[in-house]
Amino acid sequence: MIFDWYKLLNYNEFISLGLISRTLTVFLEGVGQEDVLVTVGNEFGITFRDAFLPLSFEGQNPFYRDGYAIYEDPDGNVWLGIESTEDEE
Amino acid sequence: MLNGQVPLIVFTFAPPVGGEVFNAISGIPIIGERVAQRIGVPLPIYLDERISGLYVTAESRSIDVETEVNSRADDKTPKVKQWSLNSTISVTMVGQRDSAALATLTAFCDLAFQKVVSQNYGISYFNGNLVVLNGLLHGFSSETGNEDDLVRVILQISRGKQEINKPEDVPFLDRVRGSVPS
Repeated sequence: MIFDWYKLLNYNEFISLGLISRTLTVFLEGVGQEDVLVTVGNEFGITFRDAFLPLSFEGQNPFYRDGYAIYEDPDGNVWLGIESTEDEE
Repeated sequence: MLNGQVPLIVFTFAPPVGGEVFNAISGIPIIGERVAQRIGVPLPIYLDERISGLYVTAESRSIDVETEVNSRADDKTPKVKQWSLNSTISVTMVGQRDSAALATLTAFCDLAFQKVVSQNYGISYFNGNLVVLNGLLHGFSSETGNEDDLVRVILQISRGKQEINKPEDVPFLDRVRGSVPS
């Protein structure tokens, strides 16, 4: 599957803030303005368009659900993925 | 006509980030671009049956305060903590089903509902000695009956807010396409 990925935040930096949740308002290239809810609980995850995406859920990185995905790269950056509907350029 | 002969409700929406859409709105001469860019677009609705088909039938105001009284083991005066919960006014209106102002009021409340978290809006209300500046939407309900063509509307405005939030810069995130970002 091909996804459009957007780098949201750095996992370690977000954890160091000590926040339980934060809503990020971002402008996604090719999509528009969206809200992404970042939550820290038993699982670190994001909620995007009513889809909850836990990070590395059951060891799956990236983790896919309902056309969306979450991925943590080796540098700790957390990416939001939206399944691409366009032909790969 | 603020606080004049008829009740007035004013919705104010802060300019959206980017300003492209807002620039088109602020081109309306009566608003004034410079003013509108700073405070948002004020959108008034007169609550008068002759003007808008809406009629205010009742108003009420309430203040909710949480009080916690902690008794002390030494029988001295209990410690009391208080914190404010909300200060709201409730406006009950009736309107005709085909009232354009009622449809506009409903649409504005829907728009405010989308901005509840960002609070990039304000609701002001003027009627006699009851004045609310830059309040927040606390509740909205409408009810229609089968026996007449009237719509009963209850609008609740919270007075907790004092100023309209300025829109924050929204970060632009570039797209990286692939099975995983690289």
